[in-house]
Amino acid sequence: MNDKDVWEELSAYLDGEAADPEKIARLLEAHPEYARRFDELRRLSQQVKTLAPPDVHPAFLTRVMAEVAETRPVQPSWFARFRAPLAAAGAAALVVLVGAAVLRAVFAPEVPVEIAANGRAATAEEALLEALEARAAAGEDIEAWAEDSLFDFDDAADVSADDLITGLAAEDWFDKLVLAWEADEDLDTMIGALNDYERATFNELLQEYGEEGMTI
Amino acid sequence: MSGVDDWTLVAHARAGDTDAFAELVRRYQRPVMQFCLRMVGSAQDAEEIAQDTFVRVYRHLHRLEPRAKFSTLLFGIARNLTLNFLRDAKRRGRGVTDPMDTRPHLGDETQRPDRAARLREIEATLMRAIQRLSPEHREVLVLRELNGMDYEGIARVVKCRKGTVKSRLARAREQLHAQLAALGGDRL
Repeated sequence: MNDKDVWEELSAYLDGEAADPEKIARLLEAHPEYARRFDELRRLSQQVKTLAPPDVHPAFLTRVMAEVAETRPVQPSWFARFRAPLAAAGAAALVVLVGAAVLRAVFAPEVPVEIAANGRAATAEEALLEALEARAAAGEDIEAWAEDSLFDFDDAADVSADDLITGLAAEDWFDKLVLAWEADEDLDTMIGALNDYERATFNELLQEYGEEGMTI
Repeated sequence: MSGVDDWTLVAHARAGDTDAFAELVRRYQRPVMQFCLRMVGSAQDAEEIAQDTFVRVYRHLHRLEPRAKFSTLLFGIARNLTLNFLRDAKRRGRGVTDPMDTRPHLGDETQRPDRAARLREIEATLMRAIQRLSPEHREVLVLRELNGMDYEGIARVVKCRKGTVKSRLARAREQLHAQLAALGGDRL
């Protein structure tokens, strides 16, 4: 093991996460230098743990609940649109409607022209998947699409629905999008109001859904 | 309601039981605040982000499904909000607050003044060293050491592989060790 590996294994051993703890225990017994470094790690960990959680003022709960009282929860119909299979008849109409609007307004620069033009893709999801396949076939680095985004995935396959939920929930503009949708505002107008960064993030999120095989 | 599991509380909250949601807030306010504070370095900003985290969870209650631990989703949102905050602060050219101004937990203030001062000094030095880590190293360190998450849980929150958590955490500790030495914290 090189120096970096040793430190990494000692760190994992400290956390009870070493792949082969018995091997590390033997190393610590046989090498005083490793034992010294492990002791350093343990002291460091103990020091950090002295940072106690901050005291939370009782007014915090009151403030959260006051804001909650004025907050309208996002209804499941919106999210169901993301998760239900396009084959589900009720959802399909909505999905196609929104998907088409999204594709038109947001994906225009991202969906390869040939796919948008040849009419093979009947739905937003199909168009997205075809776009992904085309890009992958062209040897493009799909992960690079997420560059400079909130989502620092090490592997596109790691993306899950939960990732998207937590990601979307942290976006103000997504809340605006949902509220506008619920208020029956014109989606094109609303998407048109997104700035470049918001569009790019929305774009990435939808692409990631496509990679995960999720429906849009 | 203290014995009820998180997802049952979520189900009650979905049905309109705000007491159930209040119980979730009570249950997680300290760990979420801890995470936010150590990530952004300012008690005031951390409180706002923590509040925002809970409100967003409430807004999206109907979209949450018990595939993972509730805490994983909660910390995932808190994590994204802290990264948004740090990104915006960087864009505005505003650095994070000096950890000396964080008004963190200082233990029992009725202790002897010299001991309280010593605790403050230790905490400020540690905070300064942690703030010098990159966000990606800081978050794994905080989630492990201060929120007590295992590698699997951290991987879910920060959206990477377990092996990446392992290497980032080792690197974070290595850098923290060096930072503390530079700040004189090796004498703590």
